[in-house]
Amino acid sequence: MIKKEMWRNPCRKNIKKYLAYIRCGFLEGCAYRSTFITGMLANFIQAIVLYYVWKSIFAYQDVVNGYTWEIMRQYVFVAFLCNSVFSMGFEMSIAERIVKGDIILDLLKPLSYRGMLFFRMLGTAGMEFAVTFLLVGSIYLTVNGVRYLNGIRILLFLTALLLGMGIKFCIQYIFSLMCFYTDNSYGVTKAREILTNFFSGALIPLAMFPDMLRRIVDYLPFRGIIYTPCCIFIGTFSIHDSVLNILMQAAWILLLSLFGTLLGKKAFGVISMYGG
Amino acid sequence: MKNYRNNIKLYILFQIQNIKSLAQYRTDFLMMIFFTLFSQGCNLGLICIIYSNIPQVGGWTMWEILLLYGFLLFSEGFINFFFQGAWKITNMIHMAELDRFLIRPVPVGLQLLTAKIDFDGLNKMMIAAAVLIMGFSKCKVEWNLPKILLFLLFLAEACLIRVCMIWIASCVSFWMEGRKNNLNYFIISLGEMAKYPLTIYPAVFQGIFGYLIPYAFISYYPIGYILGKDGTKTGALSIPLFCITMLAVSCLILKSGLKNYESSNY
Repeated sequence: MIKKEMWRNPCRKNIKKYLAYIRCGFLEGCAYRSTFITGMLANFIQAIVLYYVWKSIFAYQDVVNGYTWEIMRQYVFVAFLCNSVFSMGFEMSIAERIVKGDIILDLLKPLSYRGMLFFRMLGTAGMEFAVTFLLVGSIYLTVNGVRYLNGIRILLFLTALLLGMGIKFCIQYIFSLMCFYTDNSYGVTKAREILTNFFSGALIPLAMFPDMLRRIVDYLPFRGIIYTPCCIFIGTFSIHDSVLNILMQAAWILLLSLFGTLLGKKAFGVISMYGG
Repeated sequence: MKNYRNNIKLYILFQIQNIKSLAQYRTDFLMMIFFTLFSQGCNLGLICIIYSNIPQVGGWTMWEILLLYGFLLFSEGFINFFFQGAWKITNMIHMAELDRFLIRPVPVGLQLLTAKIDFDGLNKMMIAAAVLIMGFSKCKVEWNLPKILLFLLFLAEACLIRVCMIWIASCVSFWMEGRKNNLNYFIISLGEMAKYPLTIYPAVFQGIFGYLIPYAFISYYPIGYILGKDGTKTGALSIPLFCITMLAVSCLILKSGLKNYESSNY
């Protein structure tokens, strides 16, 4: 009787499985919190460096490329926030499992591989999100106060932030599939980190890029990870622009996940096992 | 003396074996080479982009900042290529792989240092050398023999301090249990701050970088001294002192760490 019901409700059954993975990811995040904390500290140091570099720059001039010190200060904070949420990369662990042969255990499970990764990440990100949000939020409020905050913008910002995480996940998934070809993760992880850091606007607002580069960056998915939410929050984008950019993020997610599916089909075919 | 020569020979042999092992993951290796070039390009590009908008940071021009970067990158490449094993200590302690080293008639420190190689390092050192040459050709420095010698000495000292820093941070694992020791990641990411002149930071951070974690001695003081910046002389002259202290601490920490080591029977 129970079996029959479950068969009738495959969706519900799957949700239960995935919920288990969310929980698993959450617990994993709590257990390996030192990784998260160092990751965040590293980001934080970067934010501090950028903060003081910009501060010393703005000591000489008031406006740099349309940015004032007030705006730049916020940008550094928000970029740090976006960067810290979901900092964990899973390419490393995937490559380890491929080399050891454990990956077969994941592939044998009656779930989609990507779904499993996604929900696991969601659980971990939930923990990270809460911690970062509290921390950065309180720092932001003490430094800047509430004067720049605005209800609609915050709503749009949160949407953009979540979609940005989605893009980050898709990109990481595609890169982790490359581990099936390279059998190791060092180069792959590095590649992904550099691309996302540089082209997402984590280090410097994309508006400061030279014209040529800027036009290229506008057509890349990376800007959706940090630059879009940041600009929405600090108000460089009008509401109209913000909505457009959010739609663009969503389009990128669709496109990237489609690409991920196609690549996945090929990548799972080339897997070679070394025992297990 | 013979012991010394023997150890150097062993070191070279270990490293050759390490280089051979790189052929194992060829695609990843090629990707890594390509992306090191790419990432350094990005980092340099970032500095150029910042400077395309403004004339100077804290009184330092772009080429002077690039010199700081060159020093930092060179020392990083140096560790990666010659002493990357320092990164593996944590894992070795956790997995009790250290036992294997303890029973061999070769100094444990030597074996630990050569436990791994990162070919990236060679790449980085070459890029750093190019950056340094370019930077010095654009800065007005009057070169003479003592200055060249001093420059080489500074570079060697920077590498040495950097290795000791990672070494000490990794050796803390002898006392901290767990799969990961994040102290060395933390130390590496602090290096970000050494990319810019010390004077732009508030006093607290200046104290931390000047004395607690001596990153200022890796890039700011030596370059500042060569370029003749104010307030770098005492710093530059006290570098050898720091080197000796760090070396002594490194040796001590390994010794007492090994005394403290109990295999985890994993």
